Amino acid sequence: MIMRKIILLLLVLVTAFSLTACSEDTGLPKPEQPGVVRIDDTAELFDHMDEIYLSQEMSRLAEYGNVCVYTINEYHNSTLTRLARDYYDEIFGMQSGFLFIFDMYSREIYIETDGYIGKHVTVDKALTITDNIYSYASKEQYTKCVAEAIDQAIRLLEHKSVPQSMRIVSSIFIAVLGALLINFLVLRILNRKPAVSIGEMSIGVKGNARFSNDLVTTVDRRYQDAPITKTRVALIILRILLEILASGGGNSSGKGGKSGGGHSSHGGGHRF
Amino acid sequence: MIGCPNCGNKLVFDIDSQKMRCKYCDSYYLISVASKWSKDAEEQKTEDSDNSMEITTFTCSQCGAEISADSDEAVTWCSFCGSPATLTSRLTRIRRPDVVVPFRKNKEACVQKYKEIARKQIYAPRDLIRHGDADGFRGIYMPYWTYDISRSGPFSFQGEQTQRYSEDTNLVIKYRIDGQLNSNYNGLSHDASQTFDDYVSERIAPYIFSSQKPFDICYLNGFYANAADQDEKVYRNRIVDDEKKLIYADAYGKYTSYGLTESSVVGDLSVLGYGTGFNENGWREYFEDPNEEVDSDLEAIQQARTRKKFSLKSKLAMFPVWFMSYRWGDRVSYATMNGDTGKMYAEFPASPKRFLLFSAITAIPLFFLIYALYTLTPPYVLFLALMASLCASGMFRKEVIEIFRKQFHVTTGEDPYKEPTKSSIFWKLCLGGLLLLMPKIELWWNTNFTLEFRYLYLATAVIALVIFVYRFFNMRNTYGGIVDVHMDATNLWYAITALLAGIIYLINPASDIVYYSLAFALVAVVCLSVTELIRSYNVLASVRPKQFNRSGGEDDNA
Repeated sequence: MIMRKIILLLLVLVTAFSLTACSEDTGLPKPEQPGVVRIDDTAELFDHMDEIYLSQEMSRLAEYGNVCVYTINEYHNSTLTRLARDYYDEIFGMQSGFLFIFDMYSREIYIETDGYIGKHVTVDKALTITDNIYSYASKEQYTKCVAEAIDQAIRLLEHKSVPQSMRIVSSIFIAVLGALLINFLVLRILNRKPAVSIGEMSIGVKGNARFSNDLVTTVDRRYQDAPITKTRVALIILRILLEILASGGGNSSGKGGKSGGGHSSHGGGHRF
Repeated sequence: MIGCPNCGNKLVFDIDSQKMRCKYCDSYYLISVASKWSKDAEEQKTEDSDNSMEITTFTCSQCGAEISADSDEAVTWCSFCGSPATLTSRLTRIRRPDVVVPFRKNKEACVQKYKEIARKQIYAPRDLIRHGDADGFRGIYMPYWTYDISRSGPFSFQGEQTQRYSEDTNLVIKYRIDGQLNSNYNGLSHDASQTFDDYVSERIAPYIFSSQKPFDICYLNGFYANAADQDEKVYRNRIVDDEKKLIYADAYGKYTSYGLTESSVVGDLSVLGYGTGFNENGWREYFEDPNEEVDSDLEAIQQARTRKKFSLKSKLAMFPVWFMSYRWGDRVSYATMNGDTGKMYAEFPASPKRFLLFSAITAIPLFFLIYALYTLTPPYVLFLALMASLCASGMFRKEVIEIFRKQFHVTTGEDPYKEPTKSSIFWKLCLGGLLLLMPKIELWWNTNFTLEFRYLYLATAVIALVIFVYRFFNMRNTYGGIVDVHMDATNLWYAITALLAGIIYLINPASDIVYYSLAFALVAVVCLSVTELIRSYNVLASVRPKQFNRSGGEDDNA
């Protein structure tokens, strides 16, 4: 019984790992031509000198695809994730690219990537970068914030590492919690000693019960709506999860007549 | 003492040969023969007439437990509290047992089995494991009341079957099964010693009825024995409950095709003629209840209902137990083995140091696994910490219920450590899978819905808060009577941290430090809870012999 549970747990872990791994894009080539660089500063965060400086920094990243910095300061009736996807589709379509958004209304920064850049700057990496730089945005050092994001994205594209303090700290927390609970579960499982079962009790005694003159009466017959079965629930959950994973954690619906239902993007953000 | 006819030395019962053996001249004798040679044979006849016998009883000055042995047996430490105490001896007259189950498993088999179990106990203190390796086990005959119970009368069960009729419809048929019951069970037993903890004795049961032999003092030679000090009437209702379970088990076997399940018959006990009291002679007859409605068409059943009969008879028995005690401050842990079947129950308290050591060791690969698979954002870490605290709180509640059941010997109601059902395993796996995939789900949610995912985190915190507050009051009111466990503080801390988590999700601060601070607080609370869990687990894995604070001793529970 214990072995069966351990095997089940391992299966879940392996499945989760495989699904996570499968959802990443692989095998995309580096674009032959440099991408475009654009700054859509609708929130007016940068002055002219900042824009020149940023354009220089962004052009380094443009070697791998299109690059855009987009700032907004107005209410939008969607999540920033959705807004970033839509905006990315609008300006870059399915090309390799890097979109950095300052949402001054909800005070959030967000990185959206796709194509070759997206292969390297994945959801996890986007979350890591935004976590590394959000403090600059909090201090209103917007130019430095973008420049640092671009620099870290380039480092990833050059197969270099970026600081992952959030990832390490978070993993430590969960590992400690998990270890405590797992060990207590193991302690309980090792020492599970139920009282004597009815099966064991019947082995110990001599005798039995005899039922004679029995008469079976049907007291009620009725038709009832079939309750939803566990198998059906499991299939529904599985289908939803597969849909989520197939969409790369993104939008599965078609957009703007594009075949393939929009770009398979990667993105992550942080409040500041 | 029974002397060897060859050399005059003491004869003892030899487990392997099931004969009396002289260790000095290596002679073997049949029990029936040795019994006649007993130097006290004549005295025994006298004793038989008044159904009593004289034994030497040793009393522990530490815990007050009493144990009997041959007068020339060296008793150097107390089997019940484990202390090398001074034991005082005296001659006492006790009721002569009716039957005995001789030892069939020897000490080597017992130690071997203990080692097998102890090997897996990675959290147990090492000196406890070593204690079992040495000369820790003693063969003791424990007094048991063994009951023969028979019953005849009408029965009525209800069954329910569900058949798939169409895609969306089921056909549900309910049955009633009436008839005549005749049952007879021999050998239902319960320990008759106040010193022997019921919780322990129930876990090495059962003793096989067919192993019972008429009592002969020869079987006790070479072993210790404990005298009965609990009235057989105390256990009658419990035995009737056991009989009920056996009857139902037989009924399920016969009427499975009519959808008879445990839940369909529980609560319908009156039809089996269950009473609450017994007369002086230990049996009671049931006659037709004039208020009972009888179907006039069912003549056979009507006739049967006039023949309700019930009898319960008890015998005093001596059952073999290999027994080891290990003292922890004012608590004692036991390792016991059924000397007939070899079923072992051993309590292994957990050493907090070893638990923390193994937790640290486990955390290392777990860290690398999580680090390799996930980038966990601070809100998600807080969410997982909240889930972990819910989980730890649930485990804590289970421990408290189990301690309550043990301390007050509750056998009915919620059994926290029953074998999990397939359904519960399925839902736990689904929940685990969802938690693992939560980052993906969050991304998918934020893309497809306008409501931010953090509101789901907020909802979780609110639900957790409600659960913690409920548990705080529920456990305080229901299980407040148990000792040695600090329930209030743990549940209160959980509730406070869940409240803070809700506030943080609502405010949605930018700084990671806020999330990590609370996650750290939750880790601390979970650590506190696990420490309390270990404490409560150790309460479960040991007993405080009531003799330590003896003032009469109402029952023999923890």
